[in-house]
Amino acid sequence: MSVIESDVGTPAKRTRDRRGGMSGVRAIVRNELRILRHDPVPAVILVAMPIVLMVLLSNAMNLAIADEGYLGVTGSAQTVPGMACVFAFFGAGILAFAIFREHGWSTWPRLRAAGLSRRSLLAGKVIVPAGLLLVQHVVLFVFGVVLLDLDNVGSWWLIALIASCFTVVVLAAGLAVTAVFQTVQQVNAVTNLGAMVLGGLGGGFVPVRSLPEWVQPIAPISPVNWAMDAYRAVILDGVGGPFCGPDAGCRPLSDVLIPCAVLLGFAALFTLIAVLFLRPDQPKRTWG
Amino acid sequence: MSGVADDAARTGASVSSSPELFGRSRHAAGDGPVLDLRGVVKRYRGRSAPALDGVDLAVAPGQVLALLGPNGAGKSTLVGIASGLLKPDAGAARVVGVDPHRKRSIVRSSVGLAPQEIGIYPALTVRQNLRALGEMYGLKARRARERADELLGPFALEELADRPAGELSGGQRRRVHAAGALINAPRLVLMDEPTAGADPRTRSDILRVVRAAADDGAAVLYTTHYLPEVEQLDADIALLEAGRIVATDSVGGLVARHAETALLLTVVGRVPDAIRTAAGATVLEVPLVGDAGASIEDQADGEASPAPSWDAADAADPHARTIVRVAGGDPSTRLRELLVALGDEAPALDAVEIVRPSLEAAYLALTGRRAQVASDVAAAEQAA
Repeated sequence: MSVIESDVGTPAKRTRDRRGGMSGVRAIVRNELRILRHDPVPAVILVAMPIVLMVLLSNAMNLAIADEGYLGVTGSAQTVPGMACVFAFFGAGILAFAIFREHGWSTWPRLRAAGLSRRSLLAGKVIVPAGLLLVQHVVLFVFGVVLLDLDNVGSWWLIALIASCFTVVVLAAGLAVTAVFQTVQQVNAVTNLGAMVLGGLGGGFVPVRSLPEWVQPIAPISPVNWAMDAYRAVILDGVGGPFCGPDAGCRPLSDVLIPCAVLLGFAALFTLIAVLFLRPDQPKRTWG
Repeated sequence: MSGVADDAARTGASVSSSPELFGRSRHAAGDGPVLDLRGVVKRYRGRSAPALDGVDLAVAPGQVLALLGPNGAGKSTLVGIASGLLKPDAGAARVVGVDPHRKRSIVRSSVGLAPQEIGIYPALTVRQNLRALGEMYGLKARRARERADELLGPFALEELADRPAGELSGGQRRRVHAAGALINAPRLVLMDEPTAGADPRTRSDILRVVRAAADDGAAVLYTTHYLPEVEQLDADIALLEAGRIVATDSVGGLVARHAETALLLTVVGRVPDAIRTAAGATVLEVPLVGDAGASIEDQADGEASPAPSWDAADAADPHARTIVRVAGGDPSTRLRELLVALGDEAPALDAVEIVRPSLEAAYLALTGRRAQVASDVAAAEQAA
């Protein structure tokens, strides 16, 4: 046995391996940021498109919100979290594409040959889309508050919690899509269609109560439905807010925490699919 | 002086193996092999024959080992196993003494790989591509930047350093791709057909740097279809045929042991019996020109095609060409005898070539196939 091999398994070696993994993750993140700088269009669209729709739809939503008994509340209480959820789903496609393009550029074998573990590769790929999604949420909510009169009577910390849980769902969905599908065309179709269908079904465009009656019972199959339930509990009903003390008759905190737990359940399911089906040596087809 | 060194002397390019370029002269000639494969077997789903069937191979520090063989022989699979990307089904692979598939951290610091297909980030500049790869291999950002700058010169990329890689020509991309294999100053350099389709200058640059890396102590495993490159690199040879190593030797040794003068007859349509049954006659496969090899990942998925076996004699096409090798005896005498024996069927003979003892002749004798020879290389260069 060589000197190098005899070193394997010592605490020093294990620490070095962990550091190696972290440096690999950092290297991939830096590279993703370089690529993003060269082509920021997908990120811009992720933020710009929902802003456009928020501006166009907020007035129309005033009535729908009032219909539910929330008088004097602007439609942005529906459109801001709704558009954030719907367009966050495109982040799954962005993550999947970040992996597929490595196959298209034939750089995937080089990354693997660089000794990066599957965990490091995926962690590096996930971090930049995760950051993008969180930035998207921040920009949309700030835009809503400043320009669309969004009035959150609940806790901003709970908004951040919901956004984080939903981001985890989207990223796990992105990994599952990457694992299951073989071509970038399939990924585009699934993520684009998925964003629209799950967004619409879950109440991302209009409140679930405004959807056809036969659709309402199946709305919970969409993660957007659970995120919107939690957002509405905070923004409209003030959960966690200053006016929601023990005797104020507010909805309980569990109305936010349970949907968040369900979102994490969705994330666990998608992650399981990814773990079961994602093989680093599996070729993916990108263009042509 | 090797062909590469001659070339460098002509062009004035530096082939010095300075510590700045390759990081060190770390390996004494007496070190054990950097790459050591023992009885390696690899099978792919859906293929009855193993891609590698009991391969024994070692590459020592300072050695360039050219891995030759037709498409489908298992070259890329062997490179995949040496780099740790593929796991052998049986046998053992060791890189600097450890299993490269299990100990990825060792691979990270010790192995540089240029896969068969060019893998670069088109949106990034040449310098950014090399930096990115250096960081992936665990170099700190500053060191990766320095290392990228060090490699620009030897690969003649200085003037292209700040251009997006997507705007480069095929040959320029090939150079960036090859430079990436040296970014971590590896002890084992794996190059899988690094000059496929490359122009003369690119070919020359890559060969020169590969030779310099070996002179600096790196072990180099270099797969190619171009036999002239083997001689230019002053490389030893391992010949892979249907997953087995059929010969391992120096160029001189291989030629001395296996090459003999032979006639190559190109026949149109059915091969006449007079040729087919002549003493020392072998029907060859058609020459395999170009880069038709499957990638490591294709093979991992079991999608690689087996090497074609085309014998026009059995094909329906009356215009198909078959090459027949007739070995033994004086070629002029053999040709005269064959022409007499052919009689009325002589027009079926489309071309006749005499192959003298050479690396090409040895390749032909060992594999039953023609390799890409000087004329093919020249044609590819002209096309490029």
